[in-house]
Amino acid sequence: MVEGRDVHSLPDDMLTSFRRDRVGFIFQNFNLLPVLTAYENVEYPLLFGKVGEQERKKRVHAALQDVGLGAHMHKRPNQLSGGERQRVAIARALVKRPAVVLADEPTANLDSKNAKSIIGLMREIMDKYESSFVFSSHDPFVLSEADDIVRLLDGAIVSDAFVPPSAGIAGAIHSGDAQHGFNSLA
Amino acid sequence: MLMHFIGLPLRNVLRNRRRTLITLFAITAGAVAILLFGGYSNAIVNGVQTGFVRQLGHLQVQKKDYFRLGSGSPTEYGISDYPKLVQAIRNDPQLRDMVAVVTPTLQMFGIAGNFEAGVSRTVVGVGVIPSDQNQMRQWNEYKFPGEIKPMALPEDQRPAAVIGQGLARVLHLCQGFKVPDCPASTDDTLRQSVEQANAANAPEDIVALSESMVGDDQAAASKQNKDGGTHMEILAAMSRGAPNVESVPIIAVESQGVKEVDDMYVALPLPLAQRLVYGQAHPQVTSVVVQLKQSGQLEQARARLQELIKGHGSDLEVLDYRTLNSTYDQIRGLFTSIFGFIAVLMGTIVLFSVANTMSMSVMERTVEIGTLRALGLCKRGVYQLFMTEGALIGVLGAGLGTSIALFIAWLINSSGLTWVPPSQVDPIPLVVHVFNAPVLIVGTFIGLTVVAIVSGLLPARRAARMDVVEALRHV
Repeated sequence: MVEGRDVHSLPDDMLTSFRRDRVGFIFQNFNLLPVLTAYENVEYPLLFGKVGEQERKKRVHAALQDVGLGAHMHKRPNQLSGGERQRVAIARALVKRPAVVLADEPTANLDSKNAKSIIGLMREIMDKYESSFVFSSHDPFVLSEADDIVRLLDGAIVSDAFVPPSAGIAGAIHSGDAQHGFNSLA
Repeated sequence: MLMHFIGLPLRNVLRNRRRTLITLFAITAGAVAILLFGGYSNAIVNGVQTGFVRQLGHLQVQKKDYFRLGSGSPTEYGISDYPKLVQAIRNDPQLRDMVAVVTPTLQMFGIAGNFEAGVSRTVVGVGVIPSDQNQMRQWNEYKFPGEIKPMALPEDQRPAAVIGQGLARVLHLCQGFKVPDCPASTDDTLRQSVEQANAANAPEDIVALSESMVGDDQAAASKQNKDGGTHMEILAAMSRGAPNVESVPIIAVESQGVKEVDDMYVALPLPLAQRLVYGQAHPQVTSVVVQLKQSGQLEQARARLQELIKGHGSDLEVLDYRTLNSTYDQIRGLFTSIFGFIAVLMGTIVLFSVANTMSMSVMERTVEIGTLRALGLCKRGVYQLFMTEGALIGVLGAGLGTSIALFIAWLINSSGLTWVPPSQVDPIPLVVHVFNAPVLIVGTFIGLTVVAIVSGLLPARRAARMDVVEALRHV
């Protein structure tokens, strides 16, 4: 159940709308569109909605400034480092002001320095965007930064089943032996 | 939004440049093949039409059933008041702007002989007004390059004949004309062979008649030699079968391309042909030829002509050049079917080429499709994205192919190359009629673009139906 709705029973078009309006995604491999610049990647999710052009520009610039890529917004993903790409992915996830951001192993492809930087960034901007972060990770450092942790083993919760108090997101998003952190500040 | 609808698909198309180039090459090759062969085919068909229109005009007014039944009876099927009909057509306010030439012609059959050589054969003659024929030869709606030779018959319509090269050889009249393979023979050997043949086979009275004719011919020949010209005798059957003979000076020998025609072609001034066929009777013609300025006005002109001829008797009919010579439709049909085959072949190659590219693109971009769906792009959006990519490939390929084809066509048309088409004698410029065929250009462009779009249907559908989670898991 999310925000009082059973998302499993929603038809495809409503699920798409739900993802578009309420959920941000951060992927382990960043999953940026390689043919678009950092600016265009961040702008892309807003093109599906009803955000006007001026508002769109304002939000994209702000999101890229927030993740520290104001000077790199016209670079394509292959011109950015791994840490920068993940920052673009974070900006893309947050630019539409989602209720929750789902992050799949967001630091797995980063070195420890970049990983710490990314986690620090997430913590910093959660407040501003009033979003909750739900992520899966094997990284002890990441887990040490989480407010709440749920352990999963082979797709089943083995400890501390958790319902976030404000965002209302529940359920496992990752199978296998992983731990899911729920950071909620909203 | 332009980025969403065009920018992203365009960048995706250009992403894998090598594969896109190969696909574009396939479409380009298809467009070039279709346009160049289409242009060549147009040139052939236009060339054949030009030849027929120069010779037969667009329309002919004839006595009813002359075309089917009347060639053996020019008296019964002749048009006697043809000057009035010609004048009426020329002065008609509706036809005046459409018509280029109106001219009477008389087709006749007979026997041409060189009695001195003892040879003769059946011929098909046509009596014409040379000045009108020369004007008809200028018809060039499709702007074929090159000069058009005027008719060899003198425009003052004095008695003269132009004959085919084959007929000149058969009648031993090719000496003095530039006829290839002209048999070398002397008057003595010819005379000797005539005498031997007569002595061996003919009754005495016929031999005597022949000898008297040879004697007459000798006298005539000495006159011819004095005049410096070559003559032949034409025997035609008048009404009720009475024979009529005219000795006609040959002023030119021209190849007609096809041996069967070459062996029996005779062109005469109309008054001479009328004298042969009708003698002292009222001269007639077998057809009034109408050549139009533009072929596209044929039906309009035909309708008006049919109204007009009602005032000149109900026994007239209007026939077009396609009816008079079915070769045009046969050649046109042949080239249309070959063109259709090539177009389908090229379309199929383009179809599979683009479909392969799109399928590979969908497969390679599975994770990307999952990402787009996760970001909120609906199924229809994914479908549109890949369909747009297919359409862009089609537009780029068809555009590139059309441009290259037009450039090659320009090169060919400017090259000055010539070729001799079947059943013709003189070489004609090798041209491809693409520039004056907008339907062909636009049709090829749109057709190949549509094929490319259709090619993308299945891959785009597959991309749109992907499960988001499965797509994101794809390795």
